[in-house]
Amino acid sequence: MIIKLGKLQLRVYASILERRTGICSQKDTFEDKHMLLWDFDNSSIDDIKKSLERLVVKHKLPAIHIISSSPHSYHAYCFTSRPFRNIIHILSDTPELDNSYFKLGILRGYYTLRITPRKGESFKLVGIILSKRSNEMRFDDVTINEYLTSNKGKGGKRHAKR
Amino acid sequence: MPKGRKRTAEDYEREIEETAKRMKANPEYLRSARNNSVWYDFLDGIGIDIHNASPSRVGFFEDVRVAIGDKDEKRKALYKEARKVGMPSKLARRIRDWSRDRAEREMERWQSQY
Repeated sequence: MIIKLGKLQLRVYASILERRTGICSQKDTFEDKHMLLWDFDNSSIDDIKKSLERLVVKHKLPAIHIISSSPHSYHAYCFTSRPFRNIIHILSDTPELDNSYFKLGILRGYYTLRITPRKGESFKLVGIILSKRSNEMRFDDVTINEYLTSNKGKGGKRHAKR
Repeated sequence: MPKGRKRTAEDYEREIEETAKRMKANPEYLRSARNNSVWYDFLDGIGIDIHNASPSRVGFFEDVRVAIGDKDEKRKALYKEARKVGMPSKLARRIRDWSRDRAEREMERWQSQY
């Protein structure tokens, strides 16, 4: 809604917020130990796999799980336990990584990925980059947070119309 | 942002700054994921059984590879099946490289003969 008051223009937006749960990179037991979480938008799965295979070798990482979060959008999980500086270094070495996600994580001090699917979507394991190294942490030694968002993703409007 | 206008790099930058400011004012509360049903359901949904998996469990990733249909794992499974029906290991090794249909046909033939 736009209200014009002489030279002033007032815009009012309304949006429906949804409660979502996210997994955070920060470990539960150590504040400066993190797991690796990647968010990829508009990248092909082949390019992502190639990049991650290179990273596994270069940074001596354990296996990486790649998950399809929505059409043309992927998440990747690697159960490392490394300092945040090291995490930033590895993420910056991934050309396909979503830029906004990367910057926001630095400002916040940890990275978060959504683990509750959006309406009409579901998470699906699309591949695992295998490694000889075992995981550096337990699967449940991570932290979660709950947040409210109006972000319905790129397919949000399409799903809403159905 | 006005409807119809394309988002620019500046819009994204401004959004990130605003989100960062908002987060600094209201720090998000992080909780342990231990015994959290949402996290466990998520792992279960993508084929990770948290109750049977630990970092030291070597077989875990092999289980996942089977679950997602890794080619090598299928071959290994075929080899095991062939050995179970009594095939000599030399022939069973050859079966690994065949297609599933062909390997099954060959195993049936072998069982009917011996």
